[in-house]
Amino acid sequence: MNYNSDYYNVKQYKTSNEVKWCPGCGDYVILSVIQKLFSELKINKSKTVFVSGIGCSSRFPYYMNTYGVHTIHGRAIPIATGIKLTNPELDVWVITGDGDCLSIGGNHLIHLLRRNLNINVIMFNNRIYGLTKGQYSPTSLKGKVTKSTPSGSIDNSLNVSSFILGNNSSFFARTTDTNGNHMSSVLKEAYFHKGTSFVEIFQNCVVFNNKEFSIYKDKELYLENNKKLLFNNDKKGIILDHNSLELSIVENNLENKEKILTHNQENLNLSSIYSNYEQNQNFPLFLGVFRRLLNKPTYEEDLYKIKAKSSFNNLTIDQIIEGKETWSI
Amino acid sequence: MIFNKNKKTIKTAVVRIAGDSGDGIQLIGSQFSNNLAFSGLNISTFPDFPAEIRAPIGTISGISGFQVQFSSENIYTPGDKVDVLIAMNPAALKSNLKDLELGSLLIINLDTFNSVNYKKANYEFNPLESDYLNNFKLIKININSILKDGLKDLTLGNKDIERSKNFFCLGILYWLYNINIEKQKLWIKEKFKNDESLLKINMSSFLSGFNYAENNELFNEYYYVNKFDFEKGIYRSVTGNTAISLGILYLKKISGLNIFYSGYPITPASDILHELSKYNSEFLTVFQAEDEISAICSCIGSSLTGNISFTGTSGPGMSLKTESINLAFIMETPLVIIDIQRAGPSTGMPTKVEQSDVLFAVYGRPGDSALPVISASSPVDCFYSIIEAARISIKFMTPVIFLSDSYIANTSELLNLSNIKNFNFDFDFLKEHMNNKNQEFSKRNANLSKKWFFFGSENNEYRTGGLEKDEKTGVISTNPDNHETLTKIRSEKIKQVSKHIIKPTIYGCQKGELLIISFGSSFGSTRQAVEILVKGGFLIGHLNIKWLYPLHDSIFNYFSNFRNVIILELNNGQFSKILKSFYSGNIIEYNKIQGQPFKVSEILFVIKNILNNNEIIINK
Repeated sequence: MNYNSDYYNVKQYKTSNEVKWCPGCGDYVILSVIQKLFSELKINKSKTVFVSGIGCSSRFPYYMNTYGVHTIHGRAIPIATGIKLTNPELDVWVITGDGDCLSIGGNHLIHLLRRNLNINVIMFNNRIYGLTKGQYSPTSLKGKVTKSTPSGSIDNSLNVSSFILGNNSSFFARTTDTNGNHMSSVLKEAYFHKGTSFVEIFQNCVVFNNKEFSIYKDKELYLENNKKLLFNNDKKGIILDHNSLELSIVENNLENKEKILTHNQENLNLSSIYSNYEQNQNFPLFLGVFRRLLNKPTYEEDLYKIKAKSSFNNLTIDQIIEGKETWSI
Repeated sequence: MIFNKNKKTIKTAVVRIAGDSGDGIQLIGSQFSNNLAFSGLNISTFPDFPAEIRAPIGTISGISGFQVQFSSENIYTPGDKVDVLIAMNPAALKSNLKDLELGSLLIINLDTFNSVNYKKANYEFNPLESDYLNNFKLIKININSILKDGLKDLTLGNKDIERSKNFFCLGILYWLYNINIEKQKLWIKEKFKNDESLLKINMSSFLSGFNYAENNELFNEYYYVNKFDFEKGIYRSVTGNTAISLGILYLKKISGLNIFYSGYPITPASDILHELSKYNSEFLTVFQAEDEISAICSCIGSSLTGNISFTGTSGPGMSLKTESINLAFIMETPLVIIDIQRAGPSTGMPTKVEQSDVLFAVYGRPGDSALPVISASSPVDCFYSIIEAARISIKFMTPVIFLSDSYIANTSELLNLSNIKNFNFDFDFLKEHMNNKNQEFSKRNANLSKKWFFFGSENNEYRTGGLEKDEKTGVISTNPDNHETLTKIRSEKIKQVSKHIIKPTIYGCQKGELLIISFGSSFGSTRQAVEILVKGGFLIGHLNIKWLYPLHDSIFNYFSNFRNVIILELNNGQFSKILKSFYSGNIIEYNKIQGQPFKVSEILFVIKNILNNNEIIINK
């Protein structure tokens, strides 16, 4: 197939469907970032599938000119699994939300992470149920007043990074809809990662949970591999106490420079420790690639190794059907 | 001393062996059955697994049984009443005695008949002292003692010796039915070739049992069953679940389709997963999912990439799969859902048979989504029907439900392999149906089905999903006319299936007093009963139905040729409701909900009542 230069133009990844998200919704940013990224990476539309569940996030496949399937609540992951196992050549992206992925879909996520299929899971976390008009979700903070929690929610919110890392995910990253460049670089890294790439995107729901993430403004710490953990315009840093294994914040000065932690994507212990501070208001919000473990075998790799081995002595189907004991009349 | 032994030629025999789950009952049951078939006899078997895993030894819930009917004539069931019962202990006696034909042979292992075991079996008295046992020809054998005595020169543990008592019983059966022992001996040699002491014990016990019967004066009669007039061919034995697995493999061979199977362990469907897992290769892809929903959802995903996908389960799993089935229905993707029915509702009785998922299979979903439902009638029928289910599913781009049940799943029947090669499975339509080059997504053929467009084909990108879409443009739509049109199209498409299935035929009289309708595993006993009656001159017809929905047009025309119509089913009235929704005449219902299959005698009794005839005598 000869593709002219126009084939990878951003326009080619857009569909003619009118985008129906609310004006000002963070989803527009995500859509735009992904369409531009696909153009940059010259992604083959015919070999790309978007699989979504139910929620505002899950309308996404209709707006991408690739293969797409809008499935049922919480079940995008097993459907994506079926697609990937039977055609591993396809690039499979799961688009989901905090409710779809972590509430009803939580069980499937656990098993995807331990199988490490080579697919990308993008979770739009707006900390609310938007499509159904404003109920609390597993990531809503405790005390959140919503339509179903008029007295404030009494559940502790799910620690997303701990949950993902606790399931030994080979890739976890977080980004926000307020930083399109960062989102693009994170998604690029997720795309190139071989294994399950879980990306959490903090997404603003302008109608039902506006400015949920404004508490993190100027309190972001961008993780970069092999770079020091610095934030607040590099004025502050994070150190680790070697006895208690607790983190603390210090001034980035000559005295502390050496002690400030260097991020290492492959070190699960480190990223797990960061994840314990997710809900700690005294600490910055960790963003970027927490973990990326290279060369962890994927489920489909191992599956195809099994399929390639003939474990039943090269029998043909006819021979298998005949079985071990026949008699002729 | 040699005693006079009578040789009696008989047409049919039913043998049952029962003991603790550790007694090796299933092993000798299947060995005996295989050799009967090899000797040229028609067989049908039924393994009766214990209700509990590892129940305490000697208790009723731990009893494992195996029954085989063998014959020189057509048989369709493993038999109602038993001619020879071997009971290894009091609990085995208690749970099986009621099925023993009066006057028949009852063999017990006397060494286990003691007060401790009577208590475990809930006997308040010594059963051997009961007058009731006078109704049978009782032979008491001290099997344990005989074996210990015979093997005492070998330095072997008591446990191993005791465990070989199943082979002792096997030897008795070979003598009793005059079956050649050579092949059995070869099998024992092969099976235990890596353990010399076990080989010695089991071979010795087998021959010991045979010789015991030969020399003991109580065994004064042996039996001979003539060979069955088999259709020419090469045969093998299959259980229902094995047949499903083999059918799926055969589908691969004849269609070249990519095949995907995903399941979650559940009684009585797990064996399908086990069997197919062995062939996780270029033949098919097999996936044990984390739950029932993931199993069916991964099937939906693979259907989108052009695989014909199967998922096997039972009642509880069917409930969980409901939403996903509807997704496949509205997306119009092929998918076969295998339901091996068991007694419900809920956890119910997992190892017992029932046919109570019929209404659920046909209608049991929110929204208008009645589905094609095919019901296999026997183990051999499972082989052909699973392939048929796939054919219809693909041709009509719809999920199809395949019903079997725990009885068919575990009983065995002889499959004629030569017949398979000559059968027309009709997959010629596939090439054009899967031709993705003409991008006419919205076009429906005369059957109202679309082509199978799959993910990954060049320049055909499309988006699908659970929302209702405009029939012409494929865009999400809540337009009232569109929804009504599509609901009707989907419903009509399913009805079109009835034009592509084989017309069901009536066995027996085409006109007469009574038409008996059956489906699924009820076929066997019904056919056997009707055969007897038709031979006896009664004007009875038997209509066995394969496709429970949509119904073939011919069915209701048949009804008018009979004075009465009766439907037999193992549930509290389900298929009858479907029939009655299409037929305003009278249909008699006979329901049995005991976790047990219909007995031939029971069906004869029911028919007698309807016809108001005299006692029907059955000649064996």
